[in-house]
Amino acid sequence: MTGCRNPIQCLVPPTVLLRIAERGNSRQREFALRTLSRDQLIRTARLQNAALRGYGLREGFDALAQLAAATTTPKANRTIVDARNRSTVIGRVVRREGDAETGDDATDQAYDGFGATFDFYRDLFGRDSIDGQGLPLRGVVHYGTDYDNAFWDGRRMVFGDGDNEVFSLLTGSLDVIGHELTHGVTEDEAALQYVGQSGALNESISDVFGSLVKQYRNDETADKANWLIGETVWTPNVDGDALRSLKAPGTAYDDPLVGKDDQPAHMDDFVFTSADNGGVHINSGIPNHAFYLVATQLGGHAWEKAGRIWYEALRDPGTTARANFSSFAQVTVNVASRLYGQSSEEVRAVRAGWDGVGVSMGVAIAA
Amino acid sequence: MLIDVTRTGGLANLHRRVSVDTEELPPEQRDRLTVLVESLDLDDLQQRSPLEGPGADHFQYDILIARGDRERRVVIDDSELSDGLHELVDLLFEGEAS
Repeated sequence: MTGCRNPIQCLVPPTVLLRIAERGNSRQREFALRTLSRDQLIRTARLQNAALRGYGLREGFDALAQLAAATTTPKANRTIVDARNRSTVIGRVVRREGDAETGDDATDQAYDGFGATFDFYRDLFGRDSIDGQGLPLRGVVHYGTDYDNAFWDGRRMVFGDGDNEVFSLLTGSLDVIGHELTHGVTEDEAALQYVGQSGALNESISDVFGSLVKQYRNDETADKANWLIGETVWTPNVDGDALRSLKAPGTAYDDPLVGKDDQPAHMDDFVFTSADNGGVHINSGIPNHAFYLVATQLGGHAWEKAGRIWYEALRDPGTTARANFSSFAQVTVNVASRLYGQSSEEVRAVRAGWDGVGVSMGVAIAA
Repeated sequence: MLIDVTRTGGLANLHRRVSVDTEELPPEQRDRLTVLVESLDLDDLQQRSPLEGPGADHFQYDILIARGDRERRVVIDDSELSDGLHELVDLLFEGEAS
């Protein structure tokens, strides 16, 4: 009996298999990973033979070590830099991968938050870091003076300390760290343009996975999770629970100093504005709430079905940089059909979720 | 000269707005802002507006500068601020709850 039942599968080179393992749907990925691991076994045996045959013991062992490193579970590679309250991303490295706690809250929270987010993507989706290829995770803490923000600059995650009157340390909420890291994942996948509806989708993806990272760490089911983003961001001076709520957009805060949460939860209340890159942090409330509706309808752990569908939709070729709510909704339905079957409970839940926020299904937007 | 700056965006998207008429400022502050604004190439900035940086969750500034009947408007991410614009928004937001 040969080791190959389907000759076409035998012809697929490892680079293509790696690509499928990274980009394919779950069934394709499973096939690719199985094939690769079989292939690894054969290569390991060859290398062992080469090493024993005096092909050069050293080369043989080096190759084996490389192979071992390549086939072990992906691990985070974190570096935290202290900007020392200057508006620069260049600074002293204060904690590298494997270093002990520093005692500085921002540094240790960023380090731990990166770890939790890395584990989430690896454990649930087999993703090795932001780019799926082990990109080192770089964080900058103590950015600027009294800086009330955290952002993704295209290469790293940057956190201010907050002014201590309105904002506390921006690293304090795991979902905020998950939110920023997910901006990197989105940039690597659909690269949703950061303006208007595609920008609001980009923001929503970050909120959805930021919340899921927290739910996963706390082992919360959809009905038990609070669905808040940035619970610890406000100081006690501010009358608010968090920055945003996926469960009830528009209700996260209402305070004389900072104003009122202005997120809509339905297309009827979509906000047209030129501020905030065309309302990316405002209208994200609509897809945020759609996700919440899908996840709570399906029940259990939100990352298992709703999260899987959203993740695959983000990677789907149908989600282009110029996607809008309708086109993304259609892709989530397509993905759910592919994963669970056309007349499945999951497809019904996804349709109902989008229907609940007034988004009708659309066609995919060309790249 | 009228300077009006609105900051939106950032992770929290809180809106902050500062509006000043330099004629109503003490001479020292008025002169400082005037020199600063004169050092900016507002025509070029307006032409390139909106200036958006890579990444996400940057603050976005909407800067309006009106002098006589000339008006210039620049929309720009904080990652794209030149030193001069950085100094301008810092001066204006200084002392304001951020």
